[in-house]
This record gives sequence, C-alpha cells and structure tokens, in this order.
Amino acid sequence: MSQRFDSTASPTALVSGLLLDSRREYNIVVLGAGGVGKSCLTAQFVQNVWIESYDPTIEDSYRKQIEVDGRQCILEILDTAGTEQFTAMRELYMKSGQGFLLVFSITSLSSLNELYELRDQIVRIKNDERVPIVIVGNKADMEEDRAVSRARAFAVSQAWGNAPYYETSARRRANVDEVFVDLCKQIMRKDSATAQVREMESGHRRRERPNRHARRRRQRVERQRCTIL
Amino acid sequence: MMLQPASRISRASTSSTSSFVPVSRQNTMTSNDSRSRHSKRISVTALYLSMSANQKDLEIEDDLARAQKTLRDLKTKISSQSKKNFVLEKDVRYLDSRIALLIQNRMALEEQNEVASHLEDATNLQEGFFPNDDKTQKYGNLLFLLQSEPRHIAHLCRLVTMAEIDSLLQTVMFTIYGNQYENREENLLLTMFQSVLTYQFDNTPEYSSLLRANTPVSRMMTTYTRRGPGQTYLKEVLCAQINSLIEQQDVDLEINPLKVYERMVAKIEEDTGSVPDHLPKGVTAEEAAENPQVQKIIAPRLEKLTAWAESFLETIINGLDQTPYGIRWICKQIRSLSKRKYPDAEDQTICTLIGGFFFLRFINPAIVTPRSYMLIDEVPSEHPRRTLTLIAKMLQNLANKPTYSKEPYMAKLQPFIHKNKERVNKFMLELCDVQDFYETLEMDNYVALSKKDLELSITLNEVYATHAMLEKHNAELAKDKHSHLSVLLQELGPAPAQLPRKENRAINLPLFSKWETAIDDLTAALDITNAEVYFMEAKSTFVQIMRSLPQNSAALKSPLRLDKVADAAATLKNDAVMVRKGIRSMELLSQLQELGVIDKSDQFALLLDEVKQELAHLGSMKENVLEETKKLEDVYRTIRDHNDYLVGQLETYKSYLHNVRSQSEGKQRKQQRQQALGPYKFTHQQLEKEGVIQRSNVPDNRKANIYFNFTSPLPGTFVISLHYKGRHRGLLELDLKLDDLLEMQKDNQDDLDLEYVQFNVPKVLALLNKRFARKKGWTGAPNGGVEKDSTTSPPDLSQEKQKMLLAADTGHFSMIKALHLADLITELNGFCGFMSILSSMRYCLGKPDHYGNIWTALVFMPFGLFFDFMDGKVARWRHKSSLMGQELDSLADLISFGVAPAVCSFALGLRTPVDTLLLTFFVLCGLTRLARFNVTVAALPKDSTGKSKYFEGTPIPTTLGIASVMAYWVSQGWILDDLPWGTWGEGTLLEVHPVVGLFVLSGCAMVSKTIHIPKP
Ligand SMILES: Nc1nc2c(ncn2[C@@H]2O[C@H](COP(=O)(O)OP(=O)(O)OP(=O)(O)O)[C@@H](O)[C@H]2O)c(=O)[nH]1
Ligand SMILES: [Mg+2]
Repeated sequence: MSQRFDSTASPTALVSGLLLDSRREYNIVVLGAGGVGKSCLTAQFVQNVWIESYDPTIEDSYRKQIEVDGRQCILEILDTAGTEQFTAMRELYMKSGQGFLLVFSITSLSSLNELYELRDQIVRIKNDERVPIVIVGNKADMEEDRAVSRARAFAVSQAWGNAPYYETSARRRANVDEVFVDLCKQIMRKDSATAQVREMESGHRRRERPNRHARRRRQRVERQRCTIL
Repeated sequence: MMLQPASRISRASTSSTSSFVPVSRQNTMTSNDSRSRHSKRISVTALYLSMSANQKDLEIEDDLARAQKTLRDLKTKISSQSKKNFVLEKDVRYLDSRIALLIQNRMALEEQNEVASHLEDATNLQEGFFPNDDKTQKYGNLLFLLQSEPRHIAHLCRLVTMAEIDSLLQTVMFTIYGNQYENREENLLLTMFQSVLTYQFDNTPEYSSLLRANTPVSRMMTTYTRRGPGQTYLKEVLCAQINSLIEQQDVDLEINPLKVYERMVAKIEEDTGSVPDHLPKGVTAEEAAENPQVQKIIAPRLEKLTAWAESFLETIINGLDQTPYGIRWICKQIRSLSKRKYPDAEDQTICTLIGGFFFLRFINPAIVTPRSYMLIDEVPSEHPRRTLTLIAKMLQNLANKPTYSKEPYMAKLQPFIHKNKERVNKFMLELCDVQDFYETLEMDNYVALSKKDLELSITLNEVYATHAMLEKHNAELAKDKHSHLSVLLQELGPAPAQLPRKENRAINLPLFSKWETAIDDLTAALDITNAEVYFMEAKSTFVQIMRSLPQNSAALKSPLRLDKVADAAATLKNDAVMVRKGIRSMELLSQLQELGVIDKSDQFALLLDEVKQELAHLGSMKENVLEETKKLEDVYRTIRDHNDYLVGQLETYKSYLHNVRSQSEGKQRKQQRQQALGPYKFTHQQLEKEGVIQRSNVPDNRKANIYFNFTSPLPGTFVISLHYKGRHRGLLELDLKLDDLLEMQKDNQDDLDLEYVQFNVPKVLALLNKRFARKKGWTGAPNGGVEKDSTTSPPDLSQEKQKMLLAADTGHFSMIKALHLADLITELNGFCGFMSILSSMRYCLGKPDHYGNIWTALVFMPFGLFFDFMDGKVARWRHKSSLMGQELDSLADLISFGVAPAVCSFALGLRTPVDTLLLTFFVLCGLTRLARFNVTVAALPKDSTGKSKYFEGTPIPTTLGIASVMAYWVSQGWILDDLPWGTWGEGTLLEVHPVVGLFVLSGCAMVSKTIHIPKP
C-alpha cells in the first residue's frame, strides 16, 4: 500500500495539500470482541446515526472523507465480525489494514482480554511493533456497569508501546471522531517517516535491522534459468 | 446386543429411546396408566435389554445385527477420529502462527524448542496405565462423577478463564462425552449446555447483548459443532452448493458501488490507457451508486446473488430433519429461556436470538470460511469468496432485523428479505420443535450403572489437567465439604503436573461410582411389577427367536401363533441356545397367562401384536441403519482426508523446523552422511491431473513430451527441472526452499511460475511432502552431502564446513548449477596455476638464461587472479554462492597463489634445503589459510549481498606481490646466483637465501588471526 505514496512524499507535494492526487487513502480495520459496539461506533462516525438493534456483523465496509491537519484523507473502514467463529477471516483483514482500532467494552473485562490475541496477530502479520493502533474502550456511558478501570486500560496501552487509549460512547457520540482522526494521524506520520527513512537509506545503504531476511527471501523464489545448454 | 437404543438421527422423530415399544401400550398396564409411569416402562425395556445384552448367548447373527455392528464401529471410529483432528487442528493452528516468526528469523532458541516439543509425537500416543491401582480407582470415581453429574463441569466452565477453556472443552466434548453417537453421553453434554446457557440468560441484563459476546457458551458452541453430527450436517447441506459456487472462479458479484466503480475505472484505464474526465478517482459512495454505468453492472448481479442465497436457504430449510438433534435442542433451550426471561417477547425477537446461534455461529461461519469446516479443499479465489460473504450477510439479515443505515447498498436486497422473512422464522421455530430427553436420560443413567464395564479412553494429561482445574477452583466448586466432589478431591490430593508430551499416555479408565453400586435387582430398583418384567422378557425372547429361526420355517407362516413359534424353537435340532429360548418362552407364556396379562383364547393377541409391530419396526430399522451407515462412511472419509491433510501440514512444519534447528545447533549434532533424494520423474499429464499444474502454456501436442524432475539435494531444498523428451539437458530449472514455499502459502500466493507452466503452491507442497517426507532422510540428519567434498578435504573439516555454510545464509545450492559459469571460471584459475607450475619446471629443464619459460610462469599468476575475481563477481551477480564454488575457489587458489609462486621461486634459485623447507612452510600456511577461511567465512559479518565484510589474515592472492617482486628480479637478471642480498652460510648445510624471508613473512601474515583486511 505504502508504495503509492512515494511519488507524493516529496516536500513540495506535502506542502501543497490541495493537489488532487495528494488525497490519501488509508485502510482502517475495526477489531474487537462481539457486541462491544464496533458497528455502532463506525456507523456513528460514518453516518452519524445511532443503531440500537441487534445486528451482528459478518463484514461491512465504508468509505469516509475527512480533513486531518488541513489535508483531505479518504478512510476505507472495514468493520469486522467479533463473533469468534469468524476468526479464520481475520488474517486477510490484517494484511490489508494500515491502522487498527482495537475496541473493547468497558463493561466487560474479557472483551479487553480478547484484544491481546488480536494485537499479537497484527504485530506478527505486519511484522512491525509500531503498527498504528488506537485502543478504544466503548460504552463509556454505562459508567455504573464499568468492569475495566481506566488504570487497567492505561496499563495495556503502555504495554503496547503507548498506543493511545480513548473512552468512547457510540450512544452519545462521545470521542467518536477523535479515535478515527488519531489513528489517521498515526498512519500519516508513519507514512512520511518511512518515506524519510527510505530517502536516507538510499543515501547510506543502511539496513534497518540486521536480522531481517524476510524481504530478501521473498525475492529469492524466482526463476533461475539454466544458461548453459 | 440385540436392540440398540434408537440412533441419534431417528431420535427426533421417534418418541423414546426404546424404539420398539409402540405407543398403544397403555392398555397393557396392570396398574396406573399415568404418563410418567408409561415413560418409565419404556425406558425399563431399554434397561432390561441392555442388561440382557451381557449374556452372550442371546446374541443374534442376522443382517440387522451385522448392520448395526458396522454402524456402531463406524461411530466409534468417527468419534475418536474427530477428536484426533481437533487436537491436530490445534497444533497446526499453533504452528501456523509460529512458523511465520520462524521464517522471518525472529524466534528465539527457547521458543524454537517449545515449538519442537509441540511437534514431538503429536500424532501417535502410546497406551499406558496409571502408576498404581489406587490412582486408577480414584480417578475412575472422579470421572464417573464428572460424567454423570454435568453440573460440575458446567460450573467449572463459568469459572475458568477464556485461556483455559479450550483445553477443558476438548476434554469434555471429545473425551468425557466423547462417544458422540451415544445417547447418554450426548444427553449429559446437552444438560451441561443447558446449565451454562441458563446461567448466561440469568446474568445478561439486556436482551440485546445476549449471546453476542464471546463467552464459555459461544466457545462451547464452536467446539460442539466440530463433533461428528454437526460436521455431517454441514457437509450434507452446504457442500454441493459451495462447491458449485466456487467453481465459477471469475464470476464477480460485487454489489458495493464503490468497489464496482473502482474496478470499472481500472478496467477502462487498462483497456484504453486513460481515464475519461467524467470518472474521477476517489468518489463518495453516493456518487458511485448514482453512476448509471455502475447501476447497470450491479442490477444483474443482484438477481444472481438473490438466486444463490435462495438456493442456499432452500437446502437449509429442506434439511430440517437432518439438523443434528443437539443443535436443535440448543435452539429449543434458547427459545424457552428467552420466553421465561421475557414473557412478552415476540416471535421475531426470539427468532433473532435463535438466528444468533444457528446462522451466526453454525451455518454462516461454514459458508464464509468453508475450508476450515472441511467443506472444500482449498481457499476459494477472490470473487467466490466475496460472493460467499455476501450470501452469509443476506442469510444473517434474514435472521435479524437488518439495519440498512449501515451499508446502504445492502438495501437493494430488501426484496429477498421480504420474500423469505416469514419462511425463515417459521423454520427457526420448527428447529426448536424437538423432544426433551430428561426421562430417558434418567433411565440411560440407570443403564450405565447396570453396565459393569463403563470405560473412558483418556490421556494422562487430560486427567491431570482436569484435576488441576478442579483443584484451582475447588473453593467455588465444592463449597460443601461433604459433597461427593469435595470428598473425591480430598482423597486425590494435589494434582500432578503435566507430563512432557513424550511421556503422555492414553489410558482406558474404568468408571464407577464410589457411592452407588451396580443394580442387580432390577425390580426393586425400578419399582415395577413382575408382570411387566415377564411381559418384556417374553416379547424380546420371541423377537429373538423369530429373527433366528430359518426363514422357511413353518412356524413363521401366517397366521402367526406364538405357541407354535415357541414350540418350533424348543424342538430345533442341534441348537441348544434356541431350545433353551423356546422352553423359556413357553414358561413365560404360561406365567403371563396365570397373571392374567394375556389370554390363550385370543392367541395371546396382546403380546402377538407387539411382537409383530416390533418385527415390522426392525425391518424398517435395517433400512435406516444401512442408510445411516452410508452417510457416516462419507463423513468418516472426509474426516480422514482432513486428518491426512493436517498430518501432512504438520509434517511440512516439522521438517522445516528441523532444518532451522539443526542449522543453528549444527556444532553439537552428530552428523550422518546423507544422499540427495530423487530425481523423481513426473509427466506433464500426471501433474496436470493432480492439480499441481494449474495453468499451462504448453501446446497440447507437446505435453506428452514434457516431463519434470523433482530432486532434493538437501533437506528442505528442492530443484524442479523441466525437460523435453530426447534432450539431455533440462529446459528450465527452479530452485525452491521449503521456507519460501511456506511463506508463499501463508501469503495465499498460489502461483509458482515456471515460465511454461504455473504450479499451485499448496499442491506442490503436498507433492513434495508425499515424495520426500516419507523417506527417513528428510526429517533425519540435516547434512546433505555432495560426494566431491569429502574426497578433497578431511571428512571432519568438510562436514563442519558444510554445516557452517548451511548455517550461514548461503542462498541456493544445487549441484547442477554448481558447475555453471562461475565455477567454470574458477577452474580456469586452477588451470593458470598449474600452467605456471609447468612453465617453471620447464625453465628448470632448459638453459638458465632462457627467460621465456619463467616469464610465462609469472604471467599465468595474474591471469589466475583475474579469474579468481571474476568468479566471485559472477556468483554474486547471479545471486548464488554455491558450496561447490567455495571449495573450488580455495583449491584453485592454493595452486595459483600458493604452489605456483613457491615453485617459481624455486626455479629462480631458492633451491637449498633450508630454502625448500621455508617454501614448504609458506605453502602450508596458504593451505591452512584457505581451510580456515572456508570454516569461518560463515561466522564473519556479511553485507546484504552475502559477501563477507573483511578477511581474517591476508588473503592468499596477496602472494602475487611476491610474484611481481620476482618478475622485477627476472627483468633485472637478479636470479639464481645473483639473487638480491646474496646467500648466507654458503657451502654449509644451512645455506639459505635471505630473500626467502619474504615467503616466510607472507605465510605468517596469511595465518594471522588478528590482521583484518577490509574487503574491497
Ligand atoms: N450503552 C451503550 N450501548 C452501546 C454502545 N455501543 C454499542 N452499544 C450496544 O451494544 C450492542 C452491540 O453493538 P454492535 O455495534 O452491534 O457490536 P459489534 O461490536 O459490532 O458486534 P459484532 O458485529 O457482533 O462484532 C448494540 O445493541 C448497541 O446498542 C455504547 O456506546 N453505549
Ligand atoms: Mg458489528
């Protein structure tokens, strides 16, 4: 995905955010246990509606254009199934996603615990400890049923490289836009950082980490022709 | 045993376990006729028969009995196989997640060891016993209690964490209640479900969040659907549909306007090279939906999708009777629990909840990811996958009130919802329409008690893990210190630790209750009259006799008369058992008559009718048994195929892991020689048929002449070459590493390009597995040797070297390729070296003032250097440094830069004994240098192209410096007696030319450990 930004990553393009093709597209994936309010959150953000009814998701996708730091971004949002029987689908989402909203419900501790496995899987698939992630504690309006303390959520956030933590309420539309904007900013930051690194690398031929053969290996499965006949 | 309790399938339609007791029996009851009494009687029959089954001589050998036995065996096999698969799947899943790390070289050694221990003996468990009888007895008591009183496990399920629940459920579903086709175990398991479900309903405040979160119940449902009956059902109902759908690989039924728009624009761009102005990129969903072209594309797709969804729905609804009893019973519980909790709930609300189980957790996961449910062999390609997802979404929308405010485009499918909503709701309510089993369960439990040989096949680790969990939650589970559970746990003491996988054993644990003894006196235990017992015995005896009598026996002709039948049996020749039965039946007839139950005057009509009905029932039962057997055989085959697949997958991982580990542990391992495996030859047709070749550009008329050779020069490394008949050399050659293939598979990258043909990655893996894994060698010692190596250097050194080279990231290795361009160039280096030596010798033979030969000798050396550089360049440029190349290089260098200069200097006059000794020293230094280089090269830091960063000690080609000095001497004529610095100790034995010091110095520099020379 990120390659497509190479052309626009030059300083001039960064300044002139008005250029049409500088509109970026980011893939965001919303993950979390069943019934924590992923769909409600997404629907509030995209369509400004509140959904009360019971409607478990299998896989929904949305697109929304927003302005972040004066730049237009198009967010491709994938709302996924929290139902555990659909775990086999996860890997595909994670490959395509650039940023992840990890949603739990503050009224259920086990919904927070389920995020660990998700985060592990993301890091593994992306092969990157610093994937853009936002941790979301939803249903903040149900303070009286709170089962996850703020301190606990912050501890998780710290353990995951200070991934930002927000408490939201899809019902009251509290903090909804903020989580998406934060995630979007993270992706953008990462994007320009990698672009810079790439520029530096082309000068220094410096390797990011000594032990990563992964990229090189991939190229190794290539045709080898017998030249001497 | 003669009569089985009704099988699971017929369960829903028959009214009780004892299938042969007709409903019209009330009039035979001697005392009260109430319903409870009736049901008790029915079950007593089962109990009676179960007990008499212990008597061997009552066994009947007719078609029905044989068919039943086959079916029973099959069910046992399915039960145990599905457990095996469940465990294997867990292992494969675990390794799936780990293998990526391994491939990316990011796994620490300890973790590698952990992964390896996961693989050890994963498949074959050995039989074993408990350390002592006391333990056997106590655990037998404990597990009997757990099995027969499901509330303990239900309670435990609520207490354990989500992390612990998987192993608990595995033990529960596949071991404690592992006989998936046995009524008692199934019913006990369902009772446990009920208990957990009830808790869930009681503790969920709002109905909207009911059954939505991932909880012990949902996890139980997942595991439950993995048992035999659920798998059978999914396969029967969904398999054909899904397969016909995924066959249409290129049919795109996307209806999301955004996606449709994007693909349309991309297509136009591809076709015309530019995008028209009226089709901008990055439009909004509304803009895309309004585009008339997009609408035109979507309209027919909506129709097709609806047709597909309807055909899925149709088979699901028609499959009502095939739906497993347990699944339906769970639906029923959901209905009754929600009615109890929300008395005013409408059907729609209840259907939403049922749909949240039946569609969301059972049907739709199988539709969306059919491969993980064994419905298809491979992951479907992109378009069918999306179509399946859309179909699942449509079905889910039917079950719930859809909210179109989510994805607006789904609203276009409203007609489908309207049309089928009613139907689906009706279907879901019908799903709930099944019998309860409580009464029969009570009886089944008696039956279990009456059986003296209740056994459980379980592993030691399962027992210990269950014990440990009980112990952990003891405080909650066994609050009452005198409860049976509490007493048993106290007796058992602390739970033993888990055994290493290797020491784990499967045991047959006899189950029995510490508190209840087996029932001997039936009548007393069950509170029934003698008359009833006699009646049942009479009936079963007559049925047995009639099934055993020869078909042409006169007694079987109608009109049927029981006394004649009894008589026929009693007088049968050569069959003591039948005679006994005949006599017994006569006795029973007269006893029953005395008791006034039956009457001789109406030909014992009451008993006769029941016997006839039973026989009729048995007749149709045989059909059913055969039919069920056929279905289950199908299931068994699928399960076994899946098992093969899983085992294969494990095998692949195992060998891969083995390679990685043996490389990193290389030093400590004892080595064995090992030959390259193969080549195995396959024709084009063969591979095409097996699906290994998924596309081929080879013209049909040529296919017959194309064949492929598969070779494994080293474990984990494969060479596939494409050959044309009649030609000696291959046309193409492909080097493959197992990890590359695995990575491709992980990335769902299916294509392996071989120019003329495209291979399918999973199929290639399967093929390699089959071909090479069976040979002990692939998983055995990692040291794949090439014969040449061992003959040119001492064996130990060579092996060590090889190990190191393998450990280092040396890239591809292949024997054939080893002799390609780069190595040919190296040979030229050796050629120059030897020519130089010959020239020096020729100079010695000729006149000392004929410098021609000596010049030739000196000129060959830089040529050698030139080739030496060239081969490295070529090798790196072509991205392969081969093992052969390394060896050749060193050997050639020794000739060209070690021996040749020394010989040349000898020719120039360093000919005294001390001179020659020192020259020998020099050559030996070179020899050592080269040997050490090969051994340590792997350990030196390398840059990204695989080149070592520096030399340790001066590289041997530096001796060319000496050669140039010598050339200068020759040009000046300073040779033989005119060597610079003259001669020391002339005339003595120690006569020496000081210039030989140059060689000594150079030799020392070469073997020095501290001199690091950066590479150019
Ligand atoms: N009080 C309150 N309820 C919420 C909130 N967000 C969601 N809900 C309720 O939680 C239930 C589930 O919400 P969904 O958005 O469908 O949950 P989900 O995470 O998408 O669930 P799956 O699609 O099954 O994974 C709905 O009935 C909502 O009414 C919130 O912020 N506050
Ligand atoms: Mg949802």
